[in-house]
Amino acid sequence: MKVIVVDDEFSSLSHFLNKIIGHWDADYHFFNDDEEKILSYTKNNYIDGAFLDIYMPHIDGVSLAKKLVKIQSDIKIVFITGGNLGLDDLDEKIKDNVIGFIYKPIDEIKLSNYLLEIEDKRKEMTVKTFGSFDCFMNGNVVRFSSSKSKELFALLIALNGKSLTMSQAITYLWPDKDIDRAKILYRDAVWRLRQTLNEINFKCVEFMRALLILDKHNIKCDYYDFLAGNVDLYNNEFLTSYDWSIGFESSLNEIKEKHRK
Amino acid sequence: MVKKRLRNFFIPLLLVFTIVVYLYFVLSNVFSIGNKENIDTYLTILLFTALAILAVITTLEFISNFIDKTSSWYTFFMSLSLIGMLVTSCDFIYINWEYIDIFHYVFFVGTMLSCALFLISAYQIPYNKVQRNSSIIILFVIITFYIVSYFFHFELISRILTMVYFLFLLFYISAYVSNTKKYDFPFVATYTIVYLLFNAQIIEIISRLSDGKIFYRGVDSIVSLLIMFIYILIYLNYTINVSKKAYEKEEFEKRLKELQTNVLNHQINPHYIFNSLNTIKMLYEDSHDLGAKALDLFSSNLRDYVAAADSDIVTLDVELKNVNNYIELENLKHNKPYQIIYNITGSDFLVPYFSLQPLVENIVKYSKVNEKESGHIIISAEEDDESYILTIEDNGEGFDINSIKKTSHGINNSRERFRLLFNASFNIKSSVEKGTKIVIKIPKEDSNESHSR
Repeated sequence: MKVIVVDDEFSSLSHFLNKIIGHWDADYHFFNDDEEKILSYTKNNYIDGAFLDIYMPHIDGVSLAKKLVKIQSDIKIVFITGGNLGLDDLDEKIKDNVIGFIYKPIDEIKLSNYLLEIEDKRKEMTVKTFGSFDCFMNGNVVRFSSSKSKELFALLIALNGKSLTMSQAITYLWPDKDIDRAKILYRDAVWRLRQTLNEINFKCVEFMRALLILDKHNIKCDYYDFLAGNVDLYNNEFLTSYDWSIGFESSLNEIKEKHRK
Repeated sequence: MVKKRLRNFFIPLLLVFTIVVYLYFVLSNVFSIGNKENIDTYLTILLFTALAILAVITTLEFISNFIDKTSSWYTFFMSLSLIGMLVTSCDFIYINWEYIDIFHYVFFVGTMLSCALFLISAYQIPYNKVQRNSSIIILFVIITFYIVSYFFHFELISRILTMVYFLFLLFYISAYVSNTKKYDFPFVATYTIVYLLFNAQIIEIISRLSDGKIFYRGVDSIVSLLIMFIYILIYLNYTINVSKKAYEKEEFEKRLKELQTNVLNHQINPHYIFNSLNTIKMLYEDSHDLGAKALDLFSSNLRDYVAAADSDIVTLDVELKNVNNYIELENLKHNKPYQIIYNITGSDFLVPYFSLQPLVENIVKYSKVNEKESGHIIISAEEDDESYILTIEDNGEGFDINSIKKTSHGINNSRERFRLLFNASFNIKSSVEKGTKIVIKIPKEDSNESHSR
């Protein structure tokens, strides 16, 4: 895919794109705010995505976007801005082409998500359960807002898509707290988890009243690969940081034994 | 309080007044009391005064329709019809023209119509669109019958139809009052007009039936005069109210903007900025990851401040995210982090932008939550049938609320913005052993309540 980047200080974006460049088979071109060059390049090449700075000394990012859309009507545009601009303020002409905004300082996960969107590729989360528990989006570690919210997510993964009620969650995660306190801590973990998933724009959990359900689509997990038949991945270490993993380990051991025979 | 008294006494007073007037005319005819010629002169003077005032109002209304977008044509037509009705009334101005009567009726119908439309549109009677349309149709049917019966010289029938029309209007208005439990001065005054016109019809009918023996011939015009003056009163009241409301709205927006600017100025001060930058530098020396995290938090913070400058209201989720960013950054700065717990049951409502962060900041400052072992703040959000309830509580050492009332700009700022934007109640309790608790109740909007003009 072909991507153009227009920024009067392109060093800011090139640093990050260079980091990610290994994951994608893509062609990057950087432009200073020289309108002539940009427009002629767009006319002569099919551009999948354009990252445009908004405030530049010679051109205005928004008017440049309008001109690019005129040349190639299906071009996807991501605005780079240090300030704060909303989708509502966008002009009708480019509203359908703008897929989002990147704010400086740049967030790698958000940037890689936009690249995926430009390529029409689905977003995927990689989850590691054998050993300690970790999640990755496009190669970048997902930072959870609190240890309990991370643990809650681990529990949802371990349940393999089965729904989780509030009381079940409390039994696993806060076994020795009184019920009122535990309910408050549960709601806190749920809120934090929801914020984290919104931040990385990967809404894989359905949050309902006192019920949580994980959507396994687009989650690549070593545990799920194990369940699908790849038993060698498991080495007697499942979610080692959490006490309740012992309950799951016995069934995992059973499955491994069955396969041996 | 003056309005309340007006409302409570106006209608009974009006009823008493009508009875007195009837009695006077009945008695004066029966016992020939009073000098009819003097009454004529007084009435003429009153008439011309009313006409002069009405002419001024009509002109003003006509002009304002071109200048002011919120003006409606109903008031113009109503004052024009009233002038026309009086001027063509054969009791006072004798114009030798056979068609004068038709014009009198036309203006009379015009008054009835514009009065009804004024009520329907301006006061939103009824508040349901289907009902509104069907009532307009009924009104037009009755008026058509009235006009048609006039042309067929069914004088008495046309009078009776007019009575039906006014009964209908009176019923209408009572239904409005009982449905919305809302009646103010303009409503009362308009009600009075309808009531008096209704009475005028009864008088005319009785007068005709008794061949003019029972009532003074000018009763119709006297009633019309009363209507003029009451209309002038409504008009004045309406104008004063509208400009008062516009002024209040302006003041409201100004105050809100002032509060918002204050909160932002307080938050984005150089002290805060340089402290944060220093923390970031410090953390980078220890761990790249921690430094990057602090930098992300700080930039999110700044971005939220910029966004807040443009909007006054935001969803609770966004506001909580702001608070969280701020606290995470603060915890990185200080060695004594405190825990913040989000006990969120329902967050589907709106709050003023940057109203929670100053509250949390102040609680921490005054109750020293960050100095206590396992100090924590719990922010709860829930709803019941009537309101959304936000609670901020901590287990710090509590403080004397009265002493901070004057100095804590943050708490007062948030309190006032909650009140101005949502009419929310705000309650702080603080005790030395139990800590501090702030409860904010935002009443849910009742969709049935009609908004006053």
